Amino acid sequence: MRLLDRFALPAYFWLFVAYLFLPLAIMAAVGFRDSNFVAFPIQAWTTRWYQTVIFERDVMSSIWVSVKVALGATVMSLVIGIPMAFFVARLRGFWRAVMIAIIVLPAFLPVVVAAISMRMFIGVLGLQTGIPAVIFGHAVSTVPFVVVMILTRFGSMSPNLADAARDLGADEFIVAYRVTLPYLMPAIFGGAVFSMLLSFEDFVRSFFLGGFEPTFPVLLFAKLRFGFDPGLAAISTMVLIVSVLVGLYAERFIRRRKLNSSSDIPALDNT
Amino acid sequence: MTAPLQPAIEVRNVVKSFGSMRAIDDVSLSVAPGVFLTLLGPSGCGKSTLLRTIAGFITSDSGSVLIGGRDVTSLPPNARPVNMVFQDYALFPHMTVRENVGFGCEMQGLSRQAREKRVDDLLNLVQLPQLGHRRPDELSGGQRQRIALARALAPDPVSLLLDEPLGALDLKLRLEMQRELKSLQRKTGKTFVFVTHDQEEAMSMSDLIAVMRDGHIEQLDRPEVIYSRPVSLYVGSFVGAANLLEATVDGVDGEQMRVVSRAFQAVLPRSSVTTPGDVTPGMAVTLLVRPEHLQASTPAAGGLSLAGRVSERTYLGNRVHVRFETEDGRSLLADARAEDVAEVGEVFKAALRPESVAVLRS
Repeated sequence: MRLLDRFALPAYFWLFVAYLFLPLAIMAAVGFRDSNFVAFPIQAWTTRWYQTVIFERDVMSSIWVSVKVALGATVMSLVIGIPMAFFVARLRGFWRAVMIAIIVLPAFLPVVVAAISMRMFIGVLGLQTGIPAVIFGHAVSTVPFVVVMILTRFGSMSPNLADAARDLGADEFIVAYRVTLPYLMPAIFGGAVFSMLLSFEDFVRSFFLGGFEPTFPVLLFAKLRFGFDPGLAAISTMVLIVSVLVGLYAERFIRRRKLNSSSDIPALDNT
Repeated sequence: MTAPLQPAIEVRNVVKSFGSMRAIDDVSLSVAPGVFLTLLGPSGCGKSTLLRTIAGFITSDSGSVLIGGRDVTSLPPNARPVNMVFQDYALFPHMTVRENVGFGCEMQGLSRQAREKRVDDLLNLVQLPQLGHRRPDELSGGQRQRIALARALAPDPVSLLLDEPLGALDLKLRLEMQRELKSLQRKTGKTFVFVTHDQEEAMSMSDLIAVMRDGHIEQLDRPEVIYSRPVSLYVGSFVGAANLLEATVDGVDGEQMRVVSRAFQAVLPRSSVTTPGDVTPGMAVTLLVRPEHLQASTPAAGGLSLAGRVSERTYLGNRVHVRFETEDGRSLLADARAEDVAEVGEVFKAALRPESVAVLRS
């Protein structure tokens, strides 16, 4: 048992960590390879790829497209998700379960199926493929996350909080604006960041619904077909770092806010 | 209590059902200004429902609620001049203490200056003037409690409604807050309607106690009367410790009556019957005897005497709690002076004055 605790389990853990992160590390390293081809190990090093890739027009414009899509999809999923969460939060029992099931369903649909159906739907509506269609498609897939995160936060909110505001003279609008929304803010923020990251990394929906302007993942895919150069490893590494930073910041923000407000419940540790 | 003033709160024939359960069953109540009223009862007796009906969170099925003489039955909580202190305080976690306390005044449309002044006054009143810029999660339980009180008092309500606000505090702090709450009520002169299931809490703070049961008010009176002259077994045994002795009325003669049972007989004043209605010979009654009225002594003429073997003796310093078993199998509790009492296994003889017995019709 001691042997297991001391060596086997930690070894197993670190092996798994290596499996998770080694590919990323290699990708980051390949970006420094002084050659036109992707290969490993690296004999000659250069920072050329990291310097030049930023000035590549198609890469930059695809990132810009992805950012626009991500922002659009996030705004849309908040506009759809927040009122939905308010609605479901009031329900109890059977109908609540049904509503939640309906809302989270898109998250479990096979992505390809969802993307194809959305493509057809857009055709039926007479819309063109392109950025608005991609935004539309992404929002459908991120709304479930937004709603579930907000509902979780709702679950920790004492019903007395809204009642206290009403009791002190607030009408329903002021209750929502001054008490409920601020209380939900960590979850709304978390849902927004999560939506943005999900949208940014999405390939399938962007591929099926996109027009002539590719998103960043779609561009990477297209480039892959013509061969890979270390520049793609470099830009991928930079995107990775930015999205990890955003994700970590969001996670920290949410955790800190949640820790604070978990003590709205009367503490027994009186001093 | 009979001042010719408009009642601060008046509840008229309020009924509220949840499904098939009658949470409030035709309750009427009138609270004079400046009174500390406690709604006392076990959980599920309807006390919180009644409080939330007064606050406006629950709409009654029938009946009406008047606050300061004005019918508010159809008004939502934000239009009623009462404020509530919640069990979990419900302080707004994202606002500072000052913002919390000032929230009600802000809703009333008070100017910024007036509001700031009011917040200062209230923080002084609850003796926490230095905590204005903290957030609720940076306060201790007792501090939160006081801020919740300040917030509810800030809009200057006709009455403060308190829903078991001391339930989350530990015993020492609870006793301290009881004193403070009472002094706050005296200082502000506000009508307090306080909900609790803790009878000691009710006794120590209230001007009036309404003992509730199954959605109705069983008895509404001063604490002393609730304690010494309960109208029912339910009230008598809910409030304080009680020895219950079944007996039969043997005869009624003018202002006296005679009760008998296998173990004792006694002549008691007829006025000791606390249940409404008269007693007649042959009627089954229950005598309610408080432990502190059972004293070791020789029986007085006409009074009640009880004897039994001591089975348990709890020494409490100035007093001793004695449990003794009578010959007919009753187990009684006496709260006696330490020097009077027999040891475990010895015979304990107790007597009590007829006036200290409450006779309840079974």
